[in-house]
Amino acid sequence: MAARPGVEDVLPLSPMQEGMVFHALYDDHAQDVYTGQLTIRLDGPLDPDRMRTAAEALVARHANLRAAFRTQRSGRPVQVVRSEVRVPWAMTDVSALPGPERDAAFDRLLAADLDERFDLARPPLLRFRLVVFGERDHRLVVSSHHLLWDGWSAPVLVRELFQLYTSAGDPTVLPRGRPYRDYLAWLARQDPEAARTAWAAALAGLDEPSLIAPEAQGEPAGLPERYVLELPERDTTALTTAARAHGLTVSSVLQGLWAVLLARLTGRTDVVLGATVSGRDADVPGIESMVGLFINTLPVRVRLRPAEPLADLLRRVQTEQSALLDHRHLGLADIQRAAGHTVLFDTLLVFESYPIDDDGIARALDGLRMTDVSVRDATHYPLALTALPGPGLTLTFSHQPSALDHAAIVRVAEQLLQLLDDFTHHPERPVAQLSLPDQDEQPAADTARPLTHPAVRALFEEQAARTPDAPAVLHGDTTLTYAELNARADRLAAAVTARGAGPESVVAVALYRGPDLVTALLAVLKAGAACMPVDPGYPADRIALMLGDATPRLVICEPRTAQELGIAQDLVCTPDASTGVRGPRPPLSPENPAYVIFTSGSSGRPKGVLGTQRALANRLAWGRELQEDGTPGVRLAKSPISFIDGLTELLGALVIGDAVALVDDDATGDPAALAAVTDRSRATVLTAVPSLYSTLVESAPPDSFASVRTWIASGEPLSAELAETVTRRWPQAGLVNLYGCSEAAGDSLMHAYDGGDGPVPLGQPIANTRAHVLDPFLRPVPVGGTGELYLAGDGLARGYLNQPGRTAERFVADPFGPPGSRLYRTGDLARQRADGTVEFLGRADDQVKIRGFRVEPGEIEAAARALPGVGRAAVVAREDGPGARRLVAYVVPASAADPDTAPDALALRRALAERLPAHLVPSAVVLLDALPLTPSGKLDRRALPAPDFTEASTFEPPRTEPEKVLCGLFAEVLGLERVGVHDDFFELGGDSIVSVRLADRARRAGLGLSPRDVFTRRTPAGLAEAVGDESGSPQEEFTATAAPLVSLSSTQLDNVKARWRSR
Amino acid sequence: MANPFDDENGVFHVLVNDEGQYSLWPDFVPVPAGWTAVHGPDTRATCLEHIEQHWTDMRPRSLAEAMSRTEA
Repeated sequence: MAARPGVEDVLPLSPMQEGMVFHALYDDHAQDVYTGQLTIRLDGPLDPDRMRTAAEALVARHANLRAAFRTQRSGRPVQVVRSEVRVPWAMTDVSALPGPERDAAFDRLLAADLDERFDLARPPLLRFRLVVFGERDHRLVVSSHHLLWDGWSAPVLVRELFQLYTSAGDPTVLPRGRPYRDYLAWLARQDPEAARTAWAAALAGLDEPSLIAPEAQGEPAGLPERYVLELPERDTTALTTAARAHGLTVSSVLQGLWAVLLARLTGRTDVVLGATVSGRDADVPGIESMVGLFINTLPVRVRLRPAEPLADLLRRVQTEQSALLDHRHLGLADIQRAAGHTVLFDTLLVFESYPIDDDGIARALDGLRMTDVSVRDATHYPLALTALPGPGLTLTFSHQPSALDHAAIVRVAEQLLQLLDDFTHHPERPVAQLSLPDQDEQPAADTARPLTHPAVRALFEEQAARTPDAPAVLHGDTTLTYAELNARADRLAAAVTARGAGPESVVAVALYRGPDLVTALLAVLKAGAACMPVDPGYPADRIALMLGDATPRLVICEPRTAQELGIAQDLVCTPDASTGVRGPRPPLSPENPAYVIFTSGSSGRPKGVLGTQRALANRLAWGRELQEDGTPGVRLAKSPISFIDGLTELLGALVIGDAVALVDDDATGDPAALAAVTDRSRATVLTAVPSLYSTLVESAPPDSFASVRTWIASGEPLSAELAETVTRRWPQAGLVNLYGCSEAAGDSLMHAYDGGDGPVPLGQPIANTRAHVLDPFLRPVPVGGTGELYLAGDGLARGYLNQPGRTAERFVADPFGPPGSRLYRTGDLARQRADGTVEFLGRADDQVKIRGFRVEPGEIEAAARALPGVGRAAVVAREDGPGARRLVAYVVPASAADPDTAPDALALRRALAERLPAHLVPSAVVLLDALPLTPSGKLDRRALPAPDFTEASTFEPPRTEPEKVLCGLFAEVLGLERVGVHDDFFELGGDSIVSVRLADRARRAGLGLSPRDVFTRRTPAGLAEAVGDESGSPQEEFTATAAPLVSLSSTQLDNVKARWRSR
Repeated sequence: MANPFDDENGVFHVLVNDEGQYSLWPDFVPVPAGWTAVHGPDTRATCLEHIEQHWTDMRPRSLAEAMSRTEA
């Protein structure tokens, strides 16, 4: 074996050693958390030279203490044992210092020593330092890399060191030790295949890892902080007795309770924790007195059942674990691979139960007494709990302070103590009813505000009576005062009433944004009916589906729209309709519906939310709280009208005396156009999704938006960076983050941005609203834990139109509100801060947000499957480039498909564009032979290929200078190598956000183009033609000839226009 | 995240409040005040079917009664 001089042995690594080598190499500049320190206090006369000789003899005795860790050319790490090494030995004398300074100097010494990394390639990975406190008072510090030995080995090493001290370094006083290589040889004899199978089975069906600090994944770990608790002796005895009575080890009890705690922290019922096992049960004779790294860290998976008594759960955990006893030699990396996960847990439980031969150690010393020993070691995990049995059970929580702060650890510790108490005294209690920490941690902010008018029409009419001459609607050159708008709406309302619409009926409004739209919405509400805004640019099929579901009494639209959409004549009501006779207005209840808004539905169909008058009036009246000094301003109206934000934006302004400045539908995503309307109308309030704010920051003309006083962000998570950039660029304006959904009248939580790191929180409940973060057992999650967000209060909708089942599973009985009240479960994951502020953590289901639009991939998948030749389909939101989040559909052709009629990706995408609203149309369709699956049979998202947009390219080189520039810019903004002159912007993955960037760059390059040109012209050749017009001004008409590659139907054209709309 | 309402294998009840509104409800959670179990314990699918069959007027009961008085 000894191929090179001085090399005694070359050995493989144990799995745990491999993991530690990985962590040491991961970031070789930071502190290596696996550097350990053993400090021994020795009283009595000590001979330093003799101690040094003993240390050298100890290293000579154990080959594995002389190992270096290297990577072979194959990439495989090995340990190379040197036959001889120089043992680092240092001495420091602090005895001259006065008492307190002595301790401080020693602490500094220990800290500096811990900072000093071991070079894994230069053995030995240990060093000794003797610190002289006084003639008869010494500290021996043994620092080493954890790769060399585990906690069990420490007392063995100390005893041997002392024996060698007593024998003056003569090794013959010790029996021959069994070398670590014997253990490695045993490991090599184990059956990894059987172990992999066992672990794969134990972890089968696990959806997600259990991470309490997912954001810390991949971050190098620093030195953890510690929080130590000692259970009183009486409680320890009671715990041990209870464990024994149920046939449990204290270790199993802790594992089960940790799982319960983990469930609370992660919001899951199927959790995995890490547990360190000693490894000393391996079948190697004398293993209990060997020195080396035998421990292994293994996953413990626990599935919680709500009704199961706690003791039964713990027994089940113990039984499930013992079934894996023979397979505990497998490394964690191997286990993760077998289970199909890259990570399983980020919390660790260590139950220290190794024997310490105190008498042996005491006997070994010659004239000396060991009066104290302390071990400093650490792990890279964000949270590790070490339990040390004794008369009082010691619990040490080590945590990475960047992932979990001290307050969070104290809360975790309190909960664990409570759970230990539950087990000791109420082992029969069902898991779903275990004690929770004091609920005063979740303060329910009092949001009660009297709502004077629980009906929208009364709110508006009162405002119109207060400020009849104030401007209400601004659009181009048109201005309508409150009185004029009120009169117009009254006229149309009378016509609507005369045609039989009123409370409990639905009236659809299919108008582009303009004064008529505002009038029509108010008219419907005045008539007491529910308004259902419909974007006339949606595909006709989609509109037909919505109208079919909602069966409106009337559709207010232009005759041309009625014709295009094929709306029955007797349903059509034009926006200028009036009636000679004005009957009495029917009475209106706050419980009558005020709006119908369709949202994406996971089962393949959009679902209509039916919201009440009370809910909408409450949300609109609350808006006054956002108004600066209570003085009227001007609100830019630009959110797409078929979404709840479009409705609250318009109506919200009109119930508090603001004017609405209407932005034309095809200009809502163009920073230059938005800036122009804002500056012309002196707009003070503007709502946009974060992705539009990014665009504004990047592309808004200088000095624009100077009149804005309030920016409102909603629809997507708002990053701190973006919030800071927006407030820095426009210091005169405040930034408010709103959170809500159609099911609760648009907005339920609000946060006024005030700096701070991390994503901007969702905030606190608005008027007459409550927010709860609940665990899988429907109980409040303690501060800092992950749960699902539920909403309650006046904002709740009646439910989903004609869908009682779906309503009853989303709007559920409220255990926390007045008797008989309901909760809406949002499906959003959240956590609460100590002051009740809610933070967003993602989705509990597959729903995604694209540019603020709520998208159920299931709906698009269903639409794709309905196309001819399509077998299976999966839709995901991908982020392959910075800030470019887009939908990609993966389609598997139907098996029976004839190769000649096999679907073509581009054709499928075009077919989807004809059927779905623009925000649901995937940027790309990718054909696959099969959908990749994880070992547990679920869609393996990581294995889905990124779309190759070059497939959509028929590269034809540019012919003119503008074409050349444009091809270059296309490639730049789309992140492609090259783009041909006839390549279509959207088929290469472009969207409205990227189009703004393209227009911006083109303008800088001297080509006057608007984002709208990009939408109508679509190709470098087409855009070059527009530039050729010199004006570069937007085309008046959208013409099919402008898009050379595809000929568009009028529906597609409308859809192209609709796609341009941005929230 | 496991939401108890989405558990396809869970055991559920059907609850109704005074307004005649329905709620699916997991068996292991005590019934909140103001709600009465009218069906179950049963499978999720069967409970939803029960709701689809019985919740035919989604107006709150007090509203439906007030409206029928006005119409009368």
